[in-house]
Amino acid sequence: MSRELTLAQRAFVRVMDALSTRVLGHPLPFLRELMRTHGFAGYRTITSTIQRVQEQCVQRYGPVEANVLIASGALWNGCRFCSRSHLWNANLHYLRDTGTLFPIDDAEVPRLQRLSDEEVLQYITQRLHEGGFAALAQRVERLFHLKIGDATGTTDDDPYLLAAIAAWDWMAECTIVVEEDQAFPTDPVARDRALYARYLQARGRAKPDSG
Amino acid sequence: MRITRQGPRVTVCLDDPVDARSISEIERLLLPQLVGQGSRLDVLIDLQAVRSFDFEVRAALIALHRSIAKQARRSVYLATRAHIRGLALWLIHGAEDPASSVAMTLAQAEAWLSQGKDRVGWALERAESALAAIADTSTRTSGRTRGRT
Repeated sequence: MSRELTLAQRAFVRVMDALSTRVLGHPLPFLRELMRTHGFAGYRTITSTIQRVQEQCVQRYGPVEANVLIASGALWNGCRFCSRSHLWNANLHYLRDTGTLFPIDDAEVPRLQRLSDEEVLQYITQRLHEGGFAALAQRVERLFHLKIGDATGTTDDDPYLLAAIAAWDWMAECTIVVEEDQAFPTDPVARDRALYARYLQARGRAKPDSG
Repeated sequence: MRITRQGPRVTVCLDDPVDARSISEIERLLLPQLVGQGSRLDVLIDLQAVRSFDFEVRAALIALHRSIAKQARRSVYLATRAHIRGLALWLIHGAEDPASSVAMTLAQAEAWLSQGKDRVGWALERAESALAAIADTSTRTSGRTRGRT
């Protein structure tokens, strides 16, 4: 989108960049696009809605499963930022809590997004089953069917999964402009630099530039 | 590439890969069909066969989509690979077209064409509706808990 930011919007974005860098270690690479697309009012609505959905999901499923569900909802949109960053969040929480690696590496997201939907679903659910996450695998599958609109019946999970799908459908409108190499974990858990470094080392990845 | 017309809908099936040649073919074959109709047509761009696209043509795709958006009533991109849907979302966002969307299945694509909502507003509406359902469930659950104590 080519619309220029107003002076007030530019100032706001600079403040938010600084805040985000302080809290998350990086400025949010989609913030300017969000402001250009929705303005101040839209920004307030979207951040509030995203926060409410995330809080509800974390409250119900815990941070690991909530982030995996959000990541899988975002993955289907082809968004290169949200799916990877939420899977990265899940990985960091899981490593911190268990000392072991989660069955799916966040770095796999770009490859998965190039497969057919059936291949992706099969891969994710198989990895989750093999890793001892049978219930989460079922929820990921349920989320997929809710996303494509062929789910039958209703479950207690549905409102949470539908909220995650819709909120990140909306979010993807602006995060879709972010390039693949700009993803990073968006959870404050990533502020634990020792944990972050341990995770990258465990995955065999060099630490990326923090800028 | 194949273009078929059925009632008020034009379907464009693209072959793999999407490149500069695909774009010029769509411009040559599709755009004339959208001009001069009594009522505006719906356009379904079927990318199910597409596995890859030439990254360099993204700007040209936005320009093409702007031309489609000017002439069509509504449009939708159908793809079965997430990164192709990502490309489609990127270009309809870039073209600032609220009447276009991206679908994972033909049924979803048809549902989008038959409704009158804008893409962003519809996502917000669904999110709010799901949050209301969560709140409703929480209220009922806490009501039952209070009833037992």
